[in-house]
Amino acid sequence: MKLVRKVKVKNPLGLHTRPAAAIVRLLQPRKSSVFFTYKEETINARSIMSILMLAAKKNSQIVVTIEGEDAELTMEHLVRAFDQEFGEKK
Amino acid sequence: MQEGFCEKNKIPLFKAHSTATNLLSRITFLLLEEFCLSITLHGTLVEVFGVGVLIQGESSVGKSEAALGLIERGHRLISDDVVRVKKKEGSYLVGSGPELTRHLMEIRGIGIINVAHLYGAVCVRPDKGLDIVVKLEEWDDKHFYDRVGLDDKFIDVLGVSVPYHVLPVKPGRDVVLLLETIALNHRLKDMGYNSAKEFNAKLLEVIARRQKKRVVHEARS
Repeated sequence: MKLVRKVKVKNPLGLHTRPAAAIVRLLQPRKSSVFFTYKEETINARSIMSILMLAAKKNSQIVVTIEGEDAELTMEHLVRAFDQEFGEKK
Repeated sequence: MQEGFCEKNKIPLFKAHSTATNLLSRITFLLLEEFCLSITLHGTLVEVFGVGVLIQGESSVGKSEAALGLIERGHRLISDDVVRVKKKEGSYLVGSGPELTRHLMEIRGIGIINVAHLYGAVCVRPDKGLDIVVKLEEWDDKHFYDRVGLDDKFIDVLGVSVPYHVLPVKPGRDVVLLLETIALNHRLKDMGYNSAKEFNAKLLEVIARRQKKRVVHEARS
């Protein structure tokens, strides 16, 4: 199954090292392949370095593409992490 | 006068001090550079014995660890994890790392390290031609891996075919040494010597000679 969805970076500091680590950690047990597209750059979301390279600031829109058997669940977890600002919400 | 005109009509105006010929050639060069085909690949680009090797493979197969081992042996890192590949004039490929994460590596269990700081400027370089692609794979007992190397495999990157190797990984296999060997073998092939083909030619010769002897033998009896 293939899912494509736009998510918004909501935490004030943007996608810095800690959120990137959180994303990679959350994806580790998932089987689907996950890609982020931002500013015409598509990267593998399982790689910290790739996420960091995007240097996405607050309010930037990231297109998430998930393909695989657990795509739905993976998307759900990922969107929740973005919405909860990776635990940085005060 | 030009300035006023441009300002009024909101047209960007650039001024340069070099001569028209010089400027035009430089602009052409820059535009070619800017608009050439490019792609972002997942993998680690290292220079091994002067050969640009792109190490690819699934997450956590050991790309960064292999690259770190190579660096420790005196080879150079271009980029870890994200490689921007550009197709230059004359159909050759050049890979480089994104500015922000340049010379950084992520090693599981250690974290993010700066290779240039750890090992010095000698072990990094900003860009490098992409000469071979090596895919690291977990060893699969059912898969038949290349045992002779007579047939060269290629992978298409931006319309250029690049020599391609699949390297199975399992405990006890020294990936760093294997990558060095692949790079050296590539250089040897570039110099016109293909170990596998050369050997096969020799073997065919020996077989042919034996056959001839046998014919002579049979003719005598």
